[in-house]
Amino acid sequence: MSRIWAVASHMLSEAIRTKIAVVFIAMILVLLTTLPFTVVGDGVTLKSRGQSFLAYSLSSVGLLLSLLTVFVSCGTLASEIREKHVFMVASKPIPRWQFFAGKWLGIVLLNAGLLLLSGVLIWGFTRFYIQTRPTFTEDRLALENEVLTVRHGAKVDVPDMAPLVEERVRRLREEGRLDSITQSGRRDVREAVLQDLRSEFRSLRPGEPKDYVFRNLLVDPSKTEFIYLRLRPKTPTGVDDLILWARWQCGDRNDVNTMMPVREGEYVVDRFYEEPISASAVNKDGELHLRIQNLDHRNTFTFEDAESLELLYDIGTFHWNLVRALTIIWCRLAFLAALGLLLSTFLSFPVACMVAFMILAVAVSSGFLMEAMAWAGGRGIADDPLWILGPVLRPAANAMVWLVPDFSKVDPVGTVVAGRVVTLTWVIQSLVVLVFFQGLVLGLLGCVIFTRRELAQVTS
Amino acid sequence: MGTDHKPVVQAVGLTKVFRDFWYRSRVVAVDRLDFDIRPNEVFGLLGPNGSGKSTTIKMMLGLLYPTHGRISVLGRPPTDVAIKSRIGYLPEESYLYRFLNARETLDYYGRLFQINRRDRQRRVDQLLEMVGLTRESRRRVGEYSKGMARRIGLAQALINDPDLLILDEPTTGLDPIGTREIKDLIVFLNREKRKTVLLCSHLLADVEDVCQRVAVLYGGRRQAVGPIHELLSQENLTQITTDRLSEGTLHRIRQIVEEEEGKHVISMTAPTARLEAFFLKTVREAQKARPETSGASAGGRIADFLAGGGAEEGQAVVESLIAASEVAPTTGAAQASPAEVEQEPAREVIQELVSDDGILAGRDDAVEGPPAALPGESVEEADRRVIEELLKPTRGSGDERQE
Repeated sequence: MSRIWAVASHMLSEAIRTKIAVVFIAMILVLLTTLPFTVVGDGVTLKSRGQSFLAYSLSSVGLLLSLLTVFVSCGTLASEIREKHVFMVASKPIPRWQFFAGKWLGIVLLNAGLLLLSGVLIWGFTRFYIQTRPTFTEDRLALENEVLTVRHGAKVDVPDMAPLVEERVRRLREEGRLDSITQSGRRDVREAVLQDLRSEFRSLRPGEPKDYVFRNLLVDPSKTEFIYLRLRPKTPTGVDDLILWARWQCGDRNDVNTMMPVREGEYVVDRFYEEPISASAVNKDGELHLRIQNLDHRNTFTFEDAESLELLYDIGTFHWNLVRALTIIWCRLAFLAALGLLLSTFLSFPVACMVAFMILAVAVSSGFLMEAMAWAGGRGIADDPLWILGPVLRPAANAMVWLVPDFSKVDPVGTVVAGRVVTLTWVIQSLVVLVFFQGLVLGLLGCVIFTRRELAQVTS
Repeated sequence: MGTDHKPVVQAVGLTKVFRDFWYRSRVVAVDRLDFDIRPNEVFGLLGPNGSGKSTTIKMMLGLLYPTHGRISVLGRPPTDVAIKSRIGYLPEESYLYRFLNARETLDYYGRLFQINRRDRQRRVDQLLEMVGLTRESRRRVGEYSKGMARRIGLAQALINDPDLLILDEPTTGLDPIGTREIKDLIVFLNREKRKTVLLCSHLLADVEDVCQRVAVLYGGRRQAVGPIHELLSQENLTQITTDRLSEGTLHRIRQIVEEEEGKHVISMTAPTARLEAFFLKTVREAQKARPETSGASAGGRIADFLAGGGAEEGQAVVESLIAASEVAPTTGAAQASPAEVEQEPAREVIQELVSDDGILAGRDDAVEGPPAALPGESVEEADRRVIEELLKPTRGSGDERQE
């Protein structure tokens, strides 16, 4: 282990003294010290400025450190081999896998240090925003309670729909509407009925009231003052800028202490709203009952998906959430470091960089690429953008996208900006998948290649 | 080192073929090479550029793998990492990290040998003093001259007190003083510490001065191998060395040789001091007068952990070795007996090498005694020529193709 540490500390010295890390540190410092004063958000609220700052700073730091990681990891081994420094090291009693592991450790320690620096700066500037004079009084509270916090989003408890599905399918069968449908077709009908019922559950026809329950809430009314109802109404008509009226009340009718005053409000469709509710509305069983009524006489009111109607409540502090988010970003960087080192065991620096950037681009846009390929693959050869090459190239591209991790699934920026909790489970998943599985596989492959190759062989 | 007589390095049918991208044979760098390096000897691997010396060393260190044949080091294959804790290696160029200073460089390599911090610090200090870089130890290696880089390269090769020292062109880029110091160190490590040394060089004087056995390579093949005094001996000549004789005595000797042996006296001249010894003496006197110099200073005492005993012992050894080279005008080889060194060295093997391709033509520094004069050249002119060659700051060392 001491040899691995020796190589790791040497790697840190190399990154700093060859100036590459210094350049990126300078860029991060300039970026993080200018962003707080240059972002405007919606131009009005402090909350929006805070959200924009968090989004830009975390994304930029992630991107800059990704670039740094690719440059350093592709450069260090390639340079050792090109400059023949490796002759001196390989003649010392250090197994080559330890040399490889030391390089990786050095890079991830560098990343950890820079993420820590970035995290401190970001956290410091969020404090700065809180000290800034807001445009209106509630603005600062909105920033503190809705952004610089950690909230869990509880979803509405959806009742068991199975009996209702059975009832409807039975009715359809009795009406003879399923007679000409095959067995697999009947499964599709059952699924369609289920979706209809769920949609109905989330919809309020004109004038209709409906009850929703949020269960298993970990809210302690003695410690928490407010919880937040987050809603985004929509109408099936798809009309934009339509304003809907709704009346709603929280509280368990069997427990008068939980009953809150009735409130009314207007809501522009397809926008998120957060309504503060007293934490005392939660009953002793950890449930919050919500009755909501559509006051519009013409339009149906719907909550399109589970995220369109949520109950948010604090479950931690912002700085720990930030630490967890930065840890997930670090996992991505650790994967990139293993990738860069692997590539540089058999490729020169520029080629290794090119391949690493290509893989990074695929990882970042993995979801979009999958969708695009599925779309193109569903068409005939005549309409295929790749023509006859499509059916040949698409499986290879699919395999590549499948092999490369989907970085959009390990991007905590949106979650932090929304003031949502970056769960420990997510962090552990990222560590296991990106570092201990995919990173380790790349690392082992790199060690095998590096150990077996003739270091003094001229390859280019 | 053990007391057994198993070879420290053994190559059997060692062959290395470099192939191109399409796996076609491009060049045969080493061709069916057989040799042994015995314990406690200084073995020279001699040959012109491209003869396969460095390739052989790289196979010895596991940096290249043999195409055919095998090579073992300290009884194990070169890929065995454990044996490397007993090896010190100085490559043909000091491939050092330019961003580290000398102290950090040695510390880094010391850490790879898992030497504890206190011992490491002590060894680093001693090695820096030994190679004369204590004052420059905080300067980045990238700012070093080639000679200084060579010295730090040598220091890193000794950081682990190795049993087997592999030196690839160790004196390249060094001035005559540095060259002499390295040769003295090799002799000391071999004689006093019973280290095995492999010296790879195309500088014939280096090899001749310190090696007990040599192998001569050309075109990747072994051309000759054996003890150096056997390879260089000329049994058909006799040389007598005495204090200065009068003209009358010389005449009578000539008569006796002709009358009683029926042979002609080839030459009877007063010997000249060896140029290297003269140069060292001159510089040493100059150093006494004005000790400050930029760059590396002359090497200090041998590091304690290498000397094994007290510092005085190492100092005494170096001084006695240097003094010996100053007073013995025609003896350069530390191991050679007077009878051997006073003879005009036989040079069949070397001459063959030189005449084959002319690469080493004109390099008479392999030969002991006064520098050989070229046809039509006086002794003084020959001296000047050799001085100029000795004072060249660097020599081209890069092989034209991978050795």
